[in-house]
Amino acid sequence: MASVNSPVTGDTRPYNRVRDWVAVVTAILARGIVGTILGLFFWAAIPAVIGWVPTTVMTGSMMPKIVPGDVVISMPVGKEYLRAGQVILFQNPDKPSEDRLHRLRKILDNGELKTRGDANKTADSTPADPDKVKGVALLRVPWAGLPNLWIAEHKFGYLILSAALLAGLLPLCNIDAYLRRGARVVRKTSRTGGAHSVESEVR
Amino acid sequence: MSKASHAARKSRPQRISRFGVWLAVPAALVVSGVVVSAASYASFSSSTTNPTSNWNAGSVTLADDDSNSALFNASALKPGSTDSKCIVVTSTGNLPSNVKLYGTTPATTKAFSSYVNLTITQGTGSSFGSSTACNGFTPATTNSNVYTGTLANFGSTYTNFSNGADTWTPTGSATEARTYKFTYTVDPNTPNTSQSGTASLGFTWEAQNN
Repeated sequence: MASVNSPVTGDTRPYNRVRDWVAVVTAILARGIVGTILGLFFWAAIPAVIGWVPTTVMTGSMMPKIVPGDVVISMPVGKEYLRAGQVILFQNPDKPSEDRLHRLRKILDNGELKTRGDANKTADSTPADPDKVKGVALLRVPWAGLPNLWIAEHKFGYLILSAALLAGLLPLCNIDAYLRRGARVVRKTSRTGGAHSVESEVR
Repeated sequence: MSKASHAARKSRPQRISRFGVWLAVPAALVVSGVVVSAASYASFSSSTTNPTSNWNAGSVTLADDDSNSALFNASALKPGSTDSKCIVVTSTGNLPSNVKLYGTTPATTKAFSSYVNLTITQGTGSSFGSSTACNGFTPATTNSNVYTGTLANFGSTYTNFSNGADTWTPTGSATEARTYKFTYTVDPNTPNTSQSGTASLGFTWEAQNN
């Protein structure tokens, strides 16, 4: 062939099979990572559409099953469906401005709920009001609440670092674009055919 | 070989690239969905608990120096009997917290606890083992009075963290200790109906991070 360019890519750089492979694998990996991160945020947010309640876990009181930085999604249920053993989200009786996500250990005779964090040595001293239960935990989205947690704990270094890493991955997501762009040009020119195709590839 | 036939043939990286760009969004949703469902299954499928380990990333931790023995074990009390005892509570957590004091399992016979007056003061110095009553105790300069009233009232008023008596707020930046001085006095006007009555009450300090 007279052309030094890739006959199929239409790229102006010399044809290089290794480079093509590196580009396509890098792009797929980068898209996979970025997409999975965005997907986690998606799954953390979308249940709110049907009225489920997402909460960011801020403390380790439910370790090791639920760790700080998780988003836990609770489904609202009537209090007659509450059972010992469930992880429930309820208004913190010790601090009404906050919610608490602990395991329901026992429904007391007066109807109040005895709760406890799995990692805590003792049960919560203040029982919970069954009317203040916001839901039963159903889904856990790992890591999706980390930005919230970092902001609350003023760990802005982590926040900036993660944002920078994510931003750095974005250009890699499309690093194989030249492969597709070239093909499109080739397809167009191949349909029209003739001597113009090489020119249009080089351009 | 014509140029057109060259152009029609795509290299494998090209084909993968074209395929991969359309696959990216559904694949990401599926992968993240699998992560979510696996994490949810692991977290909520079982109701077993982990009672003893303390995994807290940040923690609030309290300890006292009573070696699990009772503050008072007084018998043959009569109207006017009094005694003081100190207990040191130490906060070793690394989060700022709020410490509250409340009573557990109050019990009495012949309404005796209504005739035991209790004063709780917070400060520094002394220790549980101090031989003479609270030797070396210094009341705090502010908010030293935690409670003044009957034993019965303490047991019924302060039953858990949300209604507990305010004590102190450790900063979490270093180990902090507070001494609590408990003084009881049997009411001089205790009626005869309370003779040979008994009273007991547990005291619990609880810290919650704020």
